[in-house]
Amino acid sequence: MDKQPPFTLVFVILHSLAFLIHTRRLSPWVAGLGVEVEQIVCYVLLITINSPIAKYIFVMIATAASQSFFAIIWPERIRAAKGTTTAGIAIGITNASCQLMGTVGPQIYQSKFGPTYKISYICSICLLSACIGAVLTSWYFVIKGDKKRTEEGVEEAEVAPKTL
Amino acid sequence: MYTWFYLPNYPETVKFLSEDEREAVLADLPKAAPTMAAKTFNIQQALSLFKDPTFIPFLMIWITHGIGGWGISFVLPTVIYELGISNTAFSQLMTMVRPTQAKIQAQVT
Repeated sequence: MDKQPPFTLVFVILHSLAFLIHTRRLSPWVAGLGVEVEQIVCYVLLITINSPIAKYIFVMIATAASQSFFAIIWPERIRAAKGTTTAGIAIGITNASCQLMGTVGPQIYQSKFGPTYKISYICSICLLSACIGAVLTSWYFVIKGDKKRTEEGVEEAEVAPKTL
Repeated sequence: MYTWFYLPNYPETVKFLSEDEREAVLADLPKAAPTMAAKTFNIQQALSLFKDPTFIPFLMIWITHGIGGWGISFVLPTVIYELGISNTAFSQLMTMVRPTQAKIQAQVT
């Protein structure tokens, strides 16, 4: 029962962000950065506070933020990959790199760091800061690519090969 | 196996859409979205992905967020235990809510 609030919060946050992005009131990049910053703030608070209830609330918010992030950035990732083959490989590689969270994740959150998990949180903050850097870099290159394409004309659809 | 045989590959091959609906779906897709007319494997395109400047930053996003962000879920059991309430069987049952939500989210986005 106690696991339900975090995931319900994911549901609510993600849907509200998705609505704002879909109606073009919010850029997915801004939303992504916001989510990352929110998560870092939660980790900092988790290091500093000791009350179990406050911890539970911040873990809940951090979980919600972390799970919303990929869903928000995903459409941009696919948009950046032009063409059918590219999209296929991009999806494959991205998902493969995601498997690292299953192998490296438990190393950072080993039970010997518990129950405070301070070292784990500090590691996560470093990784998330790197992530913010990566988001900003991708954003820059995506905007640059978009501008280049608008200058060259409309993005061209793939031409069907003659023999089908 | 089920996905291979029963999920439609492209909007063009979907049986449950009428012609008008199909056109509407196709019009909503970006022009550079995967198309049915494309070749099965285009080496040039595959190489262009690795030359693309966005490739490395995107990969970094997924790696850093995957490890740094999702790790928080490993802490959840400890935090719940600290709250003083624990009933493993029931909380395991409640984790079922998550995949269900994920499915709905995937459909919305």
